[in-house]
Amino acid sequence: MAFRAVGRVAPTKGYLIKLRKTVAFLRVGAETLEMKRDKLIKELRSFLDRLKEREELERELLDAYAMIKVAYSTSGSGEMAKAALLSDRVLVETKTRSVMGLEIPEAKVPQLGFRPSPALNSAVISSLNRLQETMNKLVQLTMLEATLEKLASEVADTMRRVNTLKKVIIPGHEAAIKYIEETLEGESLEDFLRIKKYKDIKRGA
Amino acid sequence: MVLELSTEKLYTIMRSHGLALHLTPVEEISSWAGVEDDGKLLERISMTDYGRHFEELDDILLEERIVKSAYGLLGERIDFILSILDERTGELVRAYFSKYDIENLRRRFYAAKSEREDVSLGLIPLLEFLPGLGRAYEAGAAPLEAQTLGMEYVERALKEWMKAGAEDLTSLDLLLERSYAEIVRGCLRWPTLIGGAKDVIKAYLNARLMGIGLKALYCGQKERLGVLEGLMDPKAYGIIVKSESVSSALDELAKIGSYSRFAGEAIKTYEKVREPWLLEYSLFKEALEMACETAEREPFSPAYLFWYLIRVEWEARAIEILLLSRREGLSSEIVRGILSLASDLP
Repeated sequence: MAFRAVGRVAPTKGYLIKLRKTVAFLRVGAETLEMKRDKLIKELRSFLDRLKEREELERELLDAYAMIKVAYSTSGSGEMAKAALLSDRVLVETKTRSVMGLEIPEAKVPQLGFRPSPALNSAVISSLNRLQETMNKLVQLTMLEATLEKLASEVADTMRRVNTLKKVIIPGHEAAIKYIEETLEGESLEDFLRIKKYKDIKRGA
Repeated sequence: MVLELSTEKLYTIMRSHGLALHLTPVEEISSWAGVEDDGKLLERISMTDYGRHFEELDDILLEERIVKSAYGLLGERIDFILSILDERTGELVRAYFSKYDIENLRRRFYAAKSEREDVSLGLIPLLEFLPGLGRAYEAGAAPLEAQTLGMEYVERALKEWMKAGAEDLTSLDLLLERSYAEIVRGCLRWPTLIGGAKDVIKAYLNARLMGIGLKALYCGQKERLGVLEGLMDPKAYGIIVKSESVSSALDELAKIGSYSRFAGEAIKTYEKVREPWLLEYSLFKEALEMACETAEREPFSPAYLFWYLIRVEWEARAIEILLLSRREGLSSEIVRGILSLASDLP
């Protein structure tokens, strides 16, 4: 007979033992995955509060952009070009850390590019400083959102695995075990009756 | 106050009274901020002296044309005044406006030192006030060769910069700023300069250097201000180098009579934006206010002439700011706020 979760089942004692071992292993696996799911959810919750930073950051970005527009209007592109020439590249260092086997990205900005000079226009200095601070926060938020996406996706995967194990695979195996047990019990009853009949025939003869 | 003036100087002052009639009223310029239609704005501008420079729509829409047109009239006005001035006063006018030469020189060095080809630095389109400075720079086989520059103070600044390795552009900025202050200070020492004109230029220079000091404090580079020690007002210098933040420096400056008005305005802005925002405009407006008050007090002195020159400079900058702001889509309230002047001579 074939089971969806197990495949073709041979109703033998050897197969029954093998299936029982598999079910025990699957139960441990399901428990471990549940633990992983709980840990990931805990990790996810620890980041959830910071999600509202996005709204604040969007506002800060708009402010920084408005300041740059004023700086450009009051000092012209020449002054902005000078600021650009005073700037280095922005350095962003990225690495990953592992949470329950999941690679989570982390980044820091060891070097912000703009190096202000007192001879630059104050609007240019202020607006670029503000933009730079905001860009730094943006990098952190990007990492946070990437982490959240990865965690959420992993939580969903883990939950799906747990559900599949608990609701499909383990019950399927259990049904197979039950089938084998019943088949074996039936066979053993048949054998018993056959032996009994044989004994009766032998005694009558 | 009665001043004894040479006929030549008196003639120039009288001419500047006449020229002041051609200035565009502050209210008129501010009202342009609310004109949304480009054609109507061009029409309004063309009714002023700027009409000769703003002839096509592109003149009010393209940055390069805006700058060229706004500075075009400024250049003509300064050139005319210089053509009728006596030598000494003319030298002071040239010294005052040499800040544009210094800025252009700074831009040339920035461009020369930079390896970035994607960033282009335009020069301010004004005549040369330090004769030969630009030509000397361009003609030099080695563009960083300080000896080719004729100006004593600029040359000293560049020599110092070269000696330090000619790498740090911030250091060059401060040294060039020092040379500008020295050029102006040098002219202020002349005994022939009388009346409030001296005070007007001195106040402007103090305000400019104080602005540099506050920005150095904001940028965390106040220890570099030693370059300007002896040129800055000692009180302002002392406050800035002892202060830990721009706000505390502004609080202290507000206690000094001559800086209280500027510091008050700057504190208000700082509390609102948390940045030393538009410091130069507050300082420039302060200098213009001071020139305005002095000119009202001494209408027949060189002070009036310097008020006129600072006023035409403000006008050109105001028109440039107004048109660039329109281009950037800033609201008319913001533009009016930037341009706002407390008073103007009638």
